[in-house]
Amino acid sequence: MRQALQESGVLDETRHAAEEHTSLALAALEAAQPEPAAGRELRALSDSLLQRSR
Amino acid sequence: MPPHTVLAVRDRLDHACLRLTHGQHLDLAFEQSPIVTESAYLEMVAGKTAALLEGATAAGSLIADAPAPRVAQFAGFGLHLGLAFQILDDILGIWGEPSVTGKPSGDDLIQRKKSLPVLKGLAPRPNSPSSGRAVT
Repeated sequence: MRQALQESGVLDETRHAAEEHTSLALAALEAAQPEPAAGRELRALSDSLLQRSR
Repeated sequence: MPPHTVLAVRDRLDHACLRLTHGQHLDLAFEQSPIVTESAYLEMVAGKTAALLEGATAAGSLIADAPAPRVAQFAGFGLHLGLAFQILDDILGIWGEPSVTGKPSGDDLIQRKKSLPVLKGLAPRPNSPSSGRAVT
């Protein structure tokens, strides 16, 4: 089932959903506190988590 | 801390607790439901992981005496961070390395958990007459 889900494109769709919410979180953070370093740290953390899921 | 800030933070915590209760109710109800939509899943997650983070980021900004618009922005940050976290956790629950996650490989599938990848796999497809993709 795991392989079938992956081959049907579900893994990519789910990753995309996670990336969308990460982007929304970053946008809200930047709007709340325009501190580039905080955004960069969060993006690095998000990229690291997404990399682990690949 | 000024009294109005204490009240505002308590209001946020109460709100988060109510949402957590609702999210937990949905989570339990999903175990008995044969069909769960993605929007229902997102509502459930928004009432669990995301509600906790939303409450935490909002409370922090309230204690820092941020104006209302900024509190709303920090709340939005926590909400979407929580949603992203839970979706990534769903991915790791199926495809994650046990040495990284600390859980057996495919544990969520074995437990028949209605995680987002499973719901997407079972969802009707535009080009398919059947009710979902072939997931065997």
